[in-house]
Amino acid sequence: MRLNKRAEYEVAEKSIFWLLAGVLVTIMILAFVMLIANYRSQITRLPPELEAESIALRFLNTPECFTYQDPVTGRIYPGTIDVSKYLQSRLDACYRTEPERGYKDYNFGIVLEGFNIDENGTEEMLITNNFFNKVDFTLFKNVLVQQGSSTVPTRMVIYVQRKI
Amino acid sequence: MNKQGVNIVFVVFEILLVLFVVAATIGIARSYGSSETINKINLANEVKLMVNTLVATPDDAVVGYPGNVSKYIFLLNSEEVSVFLPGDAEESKVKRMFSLPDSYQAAGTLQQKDRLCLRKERRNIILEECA
Repeated sequence: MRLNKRAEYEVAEKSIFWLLAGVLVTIMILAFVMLIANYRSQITRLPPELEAESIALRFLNTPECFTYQDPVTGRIYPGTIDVSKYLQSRLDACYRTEPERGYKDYNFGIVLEGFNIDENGTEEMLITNNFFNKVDFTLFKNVLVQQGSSTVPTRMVIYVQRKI
Repeated sequence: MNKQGVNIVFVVFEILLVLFVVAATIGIARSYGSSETINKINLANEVKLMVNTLVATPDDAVVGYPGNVSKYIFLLNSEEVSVFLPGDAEESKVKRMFSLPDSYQAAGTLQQKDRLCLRKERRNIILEECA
């Protein structure tokens, strides 16, 4: 038995309505999920400056990085840079991000003011393996530089790149 | 086909669809709103900060987490820290990666103990229960 024309019209109308409503409801559910996920990200977010600071402290305080260590007594001098350790190879051993996806992590460019000046008169920057000159913020650290028997005060400028 | 019958079918379909949408939305909200997930994320972030701070500490040191972590299981290796509850599926585990200097190693597990400590000995970082 077939429906009459009016009933057929109503069935078609409802079908189209529910097709559109289904799409709309799906979009609303997805938006709701994204809203909650975004809220959760916000309340568990660590300040990026804090994360960068906790990583960058190793450049100043760890003898495996640049920190001066007395060769006789073995005493470590936090905040004092050994100029003979201030090398790209040293930075590579001190902090390295994953080769393929390390651009999503923190990367750094380091300049020691007044040191490692090239022929153009600019200070050479040491960079971590996924640093691409996209500077999000900068950390400034007052340090001492041990150069032979003399100690020179200067500033270490640490350019911080967050994920690209 | 009876028009009234068709209408009843549509009404039943509409009611079922609304119930489905409500159940789905509540289910999603409950899973995302679980405070345990947020606790795990915060713990993993904080252990990662502790590891980085220990790396930056000259010489040996011990640092304790200032809270009760008896609900959770911690796994530490040289690349990441994992925090999860007993029985958690792999996708429910919260992991945070970090980068250690070349000569450093990190290891340790803590299973439902009250206090968590990280100990640095020479170039080894060990996760353990506080003494």
